[in-house]
Amino acid sequence: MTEPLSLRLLDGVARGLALIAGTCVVLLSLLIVYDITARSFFSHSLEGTDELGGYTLALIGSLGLSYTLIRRGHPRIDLAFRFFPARMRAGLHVLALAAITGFALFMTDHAIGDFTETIAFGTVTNTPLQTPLWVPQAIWVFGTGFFALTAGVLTLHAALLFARDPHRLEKLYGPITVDEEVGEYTHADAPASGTKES
Amino acid sequence: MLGIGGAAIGFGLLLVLLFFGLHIATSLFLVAAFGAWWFFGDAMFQPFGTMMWGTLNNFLLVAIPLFVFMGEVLVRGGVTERMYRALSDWLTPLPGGLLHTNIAASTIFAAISGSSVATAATIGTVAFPTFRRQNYRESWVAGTVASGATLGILIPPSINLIIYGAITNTSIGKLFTAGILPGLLLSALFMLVIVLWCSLDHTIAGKREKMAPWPERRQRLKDLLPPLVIFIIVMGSIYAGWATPTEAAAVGAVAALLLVGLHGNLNFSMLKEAMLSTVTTTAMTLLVLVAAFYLNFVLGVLGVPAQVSAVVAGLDVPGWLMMLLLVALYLLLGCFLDALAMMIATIPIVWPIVHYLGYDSVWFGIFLVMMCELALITPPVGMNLYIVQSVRGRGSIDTVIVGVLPFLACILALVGLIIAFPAIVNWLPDLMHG
Repeated sequence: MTEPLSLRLLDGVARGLALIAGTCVVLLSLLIVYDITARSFFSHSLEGTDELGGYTLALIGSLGLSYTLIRRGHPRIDLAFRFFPARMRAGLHVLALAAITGFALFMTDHAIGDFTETIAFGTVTNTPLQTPLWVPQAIWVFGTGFFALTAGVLTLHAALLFARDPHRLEKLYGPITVDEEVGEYTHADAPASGTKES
Repeated sequence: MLGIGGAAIGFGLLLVLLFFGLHIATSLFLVAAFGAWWFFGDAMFQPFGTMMWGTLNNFLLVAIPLFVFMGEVLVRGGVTERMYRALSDWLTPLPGGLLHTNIAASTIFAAISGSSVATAATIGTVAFPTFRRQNYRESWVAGTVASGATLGILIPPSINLIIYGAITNTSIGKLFTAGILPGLLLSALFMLVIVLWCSLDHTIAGKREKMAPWPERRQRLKDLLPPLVIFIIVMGSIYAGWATPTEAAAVGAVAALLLVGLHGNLNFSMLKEAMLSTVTTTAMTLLVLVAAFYLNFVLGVLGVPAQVSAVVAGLDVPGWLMMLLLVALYLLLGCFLDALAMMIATIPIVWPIVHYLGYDSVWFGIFLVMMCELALITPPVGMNLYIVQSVRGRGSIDTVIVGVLPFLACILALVGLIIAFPAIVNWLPDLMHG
């Protein structure tokens, strides 16, 4: 069964954003190594790798949120509610998504608040790079906003599935199973969920 | 301000939200937001944006994606499998034979990766087929893999220690250095237990495999080099004060890419998977941290840490008893909570107590991480138990639980030792300059 186009599109964009953030990690490590080498052997320093490191982290922590949500990477504790009846369990998956959507909206709202202030004051960082702060913060606003959008769409989709196909709801939006996590490192195909309830 | 009773209600609320399956980050945030709103109204929401940006921009935390990436590249590049084979060549003659390989491989692996999942999954995958061929008792195999994998968060580099350092403003270099000695001690204790038990009960270890011929063993010894070289580069540069932990992590990541590339295992799809995995792990951690920093802030404004200190100061309980009570509390919490969530949620309340008793923040970091190790292998939610069970792919999880019991006792014994002799933790970092 394939997902609706809108979901596949969302998944594709989220993956692309995560890859951008991941590429930045690789670039950052190369940059830092270059900086250390330059400062140890040629006594000149790039100045500002600290700051760029911070922006890289912000990039991961905003652009990477959606992909992590779709891949069910944000942890939940599957202790008590695994014993709940299937219907209630399915309802709790929808509730969890709705709650994280609320959290994401709150974050986006406050990110926008900070961003507009930065623009209003024309804040420039007090560092060798003198970065106009609105540039990294724009990515932050975009990332959290996209996270809120993703969470909202997933909540709607989960609510739809709640009515139509609870089995699929569990597979797509239940907590990630250990088999799936292990499969990542053992190159074995993760067993299809649904055949194997936690 | 908020009394101890109020704080307890907040903690209870957190547990309820978690047990109803809300995401850990959402649960922490909702409790914080509710507390802020209840006592102060909307005004306390104001600083959230700035705090979130501060968390995402924290240079200390930049070490997390870099270390995760380093570990991912090494695991996916097949370094673990080769290392495992090289170790097994040398450890077979000991009583308990290959079981020691699980511990030794986990110890070395811990030094290049902070992930228990990766450690347990990769070592388990190599270990189980070999052990079955030789008829080892399955509970011991499972126990050594699950317990050995807990070393990952104690032996540097450790993501948990970075997070602890960022929350409590403790030097990450010192925390990393402090983890080395207890980590090696624990690994030695694990091996001691295997030697003792297997000498008493010869049916645990299966038939002895013939040792590989000498030239072959010597040949494979070079497979131990990559992890050791990386560990020495990373920890050496931190210990010498030559690089910050974040810089050392970057060097480690580049070194990992070079090493895996030399072996011809570097390709585009593997790199892509390593990057995505790095982003997922980091983004997940950051979201929890954003919520946790806000919760800490709210608790601070409500005066909870000060209240806790005052109450503990008023109690006439000897320090050692207080520490035992804390260990018991963490054992209990660890049975129900995810290790990371447990650590983050308890720091603001427990740190004032431990500080009052005269322990320093480096010591407490190591103590907390050992509590997390226990949480990883205590049923019913001990993560490592399930990972090993999944890799094993047959039988009941009870076998794994029985298997970890002797090692659980080792961790508790070491906790007792560091409570009685804090120097085990503090000796090495105190030697560091600065």
